[in-house]
Amino acid sequence: MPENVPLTWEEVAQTHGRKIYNFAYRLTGNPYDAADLAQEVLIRVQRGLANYTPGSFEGWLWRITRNAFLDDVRRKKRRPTSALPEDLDRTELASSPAPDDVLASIRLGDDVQKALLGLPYDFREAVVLCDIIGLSYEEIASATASPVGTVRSRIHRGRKMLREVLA
Amino acid sequence: MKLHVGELASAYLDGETTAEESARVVTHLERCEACRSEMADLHAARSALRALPILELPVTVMADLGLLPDVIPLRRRPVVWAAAAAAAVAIFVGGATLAAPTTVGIPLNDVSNQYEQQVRIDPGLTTPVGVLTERGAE
Repeated sequence: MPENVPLTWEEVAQTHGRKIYNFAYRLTGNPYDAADLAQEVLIRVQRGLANYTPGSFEGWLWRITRNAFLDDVRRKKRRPTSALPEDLDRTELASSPAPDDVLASIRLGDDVQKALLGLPYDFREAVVLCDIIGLSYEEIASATASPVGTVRSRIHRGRKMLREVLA
Repeated sequence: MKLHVGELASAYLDGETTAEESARVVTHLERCEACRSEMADLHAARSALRALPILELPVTVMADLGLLPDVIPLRRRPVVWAAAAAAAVAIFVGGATLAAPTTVGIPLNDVSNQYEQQVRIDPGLTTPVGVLTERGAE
């Protein structure tokens, strides 16, 4: 591993694994897909760290995350039969009544999560990276390969749409 | 009246405006009811997103990669990990019987004890665990 790498793979996994998982969960609404994706991203990070050159680490990490997510979406589009019924079952699991504070906590944000899933991808991604992951506009621009002005616009429009749905 | 603040409103909430833009927003809001109302709406949407619980990374993800689980203290209360932890235990238990137990990277007993509570509470977990295992084996 090159000397200029600021973090080891283990450190990246431990400090960013949860963020990657939360990103994936909020974009898909599905804990199983999110877990698969988090794993895939960490594997790509391990491969990529050798070629990582110092710069915006967040931007680099989120570009990998985003690419893995989009690859996954494309793959699922090619195999549409297996994805849907299972996903519906899993959604039911999260919303089925159970006397348990863990499931109750998931339900707490259910309306917001549903509204989020209704947003066009670019807007959903922008608000998730901004409001849930806590990236700056600059970092989001780097992660999504978009100008900062575009990021600004997406966050704004995403929030407006959310508000209309939730109001 | 000058142009409404539009996209500047969200950027202003995020502290992503220049000093000049911020001044423009503040001045405009003082005399524009519509923009004040929109600002309140944007703030509400932003707060709703920020109030979403931070979910724990399922222990299976780290364990499958041969890594120890995250040891950094949580910023907010964990939520979704119960299902994943149960899956992890099921996989570990399965792994212990099917494969060599010595390959398990983290102490099996600790994980089992720690998540015992959550394992019992959710009878519906059997199906997703199967799904997760199959996918993991792909």
